[in-house]
Amino acid sequence: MENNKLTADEKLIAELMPRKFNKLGVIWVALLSVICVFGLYAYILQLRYGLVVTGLRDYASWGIYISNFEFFVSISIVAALFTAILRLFNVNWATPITRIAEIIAFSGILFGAIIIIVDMGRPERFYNLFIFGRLQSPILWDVIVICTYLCVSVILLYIPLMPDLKLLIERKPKAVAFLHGIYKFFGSFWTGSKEQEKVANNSVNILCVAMVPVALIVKSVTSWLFATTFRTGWDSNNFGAYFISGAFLVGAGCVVVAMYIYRKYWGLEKYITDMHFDKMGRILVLLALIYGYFNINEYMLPFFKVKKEEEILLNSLFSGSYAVAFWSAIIGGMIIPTVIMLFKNGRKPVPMFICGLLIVTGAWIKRYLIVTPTMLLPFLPMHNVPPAYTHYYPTWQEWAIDIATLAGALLVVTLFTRFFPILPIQELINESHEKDNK
Amino acid sequence: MRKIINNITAIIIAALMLQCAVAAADETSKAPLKVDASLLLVNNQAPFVSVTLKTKIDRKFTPVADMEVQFYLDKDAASGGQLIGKAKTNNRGKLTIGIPASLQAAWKAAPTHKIIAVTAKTDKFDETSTEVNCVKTRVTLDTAEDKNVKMKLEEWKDDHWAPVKDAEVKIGVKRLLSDLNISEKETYKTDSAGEVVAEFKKTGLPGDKNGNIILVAKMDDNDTYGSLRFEKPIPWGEKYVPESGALGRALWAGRFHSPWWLLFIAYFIIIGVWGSLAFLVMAIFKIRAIGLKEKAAGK
Repeated sequence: MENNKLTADEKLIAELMPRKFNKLGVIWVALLSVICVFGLYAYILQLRYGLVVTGLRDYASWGIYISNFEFFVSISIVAALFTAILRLFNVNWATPITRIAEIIAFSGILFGAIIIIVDMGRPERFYNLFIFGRLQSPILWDVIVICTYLCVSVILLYIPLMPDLKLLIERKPKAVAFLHGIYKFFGSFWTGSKEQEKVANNSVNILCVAMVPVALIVKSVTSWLFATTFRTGWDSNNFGAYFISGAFLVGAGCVVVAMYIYRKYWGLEKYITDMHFDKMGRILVLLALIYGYFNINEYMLPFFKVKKEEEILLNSLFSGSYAVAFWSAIIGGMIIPTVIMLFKNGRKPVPMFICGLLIVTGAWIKRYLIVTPTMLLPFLPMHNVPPAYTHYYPTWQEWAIDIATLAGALLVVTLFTRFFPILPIQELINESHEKDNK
Repeated sequence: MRKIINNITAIIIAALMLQCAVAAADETSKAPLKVDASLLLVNNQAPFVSVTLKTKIDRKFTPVADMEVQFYLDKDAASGGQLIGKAKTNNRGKLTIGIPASLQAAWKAAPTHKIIAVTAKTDKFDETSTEVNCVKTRVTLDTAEDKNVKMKLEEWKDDHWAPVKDAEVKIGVKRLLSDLNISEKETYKTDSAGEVVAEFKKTGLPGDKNGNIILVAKMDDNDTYGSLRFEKPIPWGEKYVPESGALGRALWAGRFHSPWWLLFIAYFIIIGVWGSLAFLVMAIFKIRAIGLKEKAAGK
């Protein structure tokens, strides 16, 4: 019996240990790297010539950088849902996807922080925020919560990774010296004793309890960046809840997409099963319905009251120049996936993957629509500005930088799976032992 | 009668032909470019030249934006004049350029100068050239007598400073958006010594923390000397120390006047969260210490 257990554990470890990329993986990493380098070149141009190389002007001083920032912060709070909330409620089926959620959260918040510095134009002045920042300003709140959440994400990723690092040291002695050094530095002290496990479990529990309010604050604060500004489309009491529900939806959508790709690429069908997709589908439907409810609040009530400025904005969204994007985000990014996932067959891996992609794409478009149309509709139009200032067309530099940050986030998530186990091996072993003991 | 009718017909035909000729000429010739150039001397330093470009569109003067103007000192480019610089007009058709440091020696070498503004030939406009004569002038303000301002205006002539007579000048105090006259009199005329004496009648003007206000003597658009402006701080105002906390603790106050409730909530959250994070980092070190201890004990 004991021997059988050992063999099963060894098999599980062997199956989940990080492996070298195949040809497709190498091409994928190379492609992402090239995109990142090109984005870096565009950013160097922006640093050299200033924000004038972007389409940002006096009217639209926030553009796709801020849309991207909102997108990254949204996907980053997914760890609060899958690691913190589900763990606190002892939802064991989610164990294989917790680390996927954690690495997405880390990558999202890291690139969220990067893109906001890109948007500043003069990054060397960043420290002024701390020297001269006013605590009354939501911008300062944002800086504080983003830094905090980045630290929380790192700790949340690291503590559950310790036992697996020990396994990596033992099973990957042939790893390059630098990598082996990292494994040893961060995990060599793990012995797996009961005392260590107790401290680690307590820490993770404390972290999970802290994670939920911190994640909610992070997303609320980024929504208040807009809602504390008296502008058409942003002047809303609904924004905090609206942003949080949207963030959970897009975060869960990202996890589904990542689940499908990891499962397919690394052959993890045994661990990320149809059951996981089915459960994720149910969660996504619930989240989509909640988000849909807040969307109704956000758009229907101003539409019903028809204040003049709101009318102009809503007309541009419903039937004007942004109508295609708006309805694509609502119908393509929310309604169609919800309808598909209502059916059992719609919660199979392939349709779930498609739904995840639709949700994520729709979410990015939605964030663009939250930022740009409002920026172009100030209450007091400016005088003596060139007509071009009243429009916003992102330049190639902006697109290059934006796409590079997305590629960078994907690169982090991809490279993580090359060097670290994407499923929590030790936790899965412990769970299987607990099952056997029962 | 027939002769009269023939004459009238001939006149009408001639008028029509003339009109057609003028219209045809209008279509082929370029729009006229009006160049206004003026000199501005601030605090007796090397001057600035301001240029305004306008053209007539539908019988209205319209500013010409984004048009390059080249400036030369004393002679134009063809005669070997030194290039002062080139600049483009803004949306209002205006630009201002100063004498660069590289030309300061040439500027000081002669008592008078000419600045030539040249616009190049374009699809819309012909080449234009405008000259501005620069006479070296000097303004001094004497405020030794209490509440009396003595201004002296001089020009450099025959190797010495000579008074400028009968020039119309203004004396005021610099305020936020414009200058405030120091008495009821709007303008003054210099006497034979080039001097003006004005009484400072404004009381209670808020100054800086030492009571300093900025006294301004100026001459606007003089045909010979252009525009002059001279500023001098004097302690004739009221001491004013802005109270940064005048609004009290409020969301819209300065950074050291955040409301107490906001400080309490923010620091409570920050200390709570970062305290938890510090505890977790300590827990990581604790895990490490346990592991190292166990390893040392050979467990």
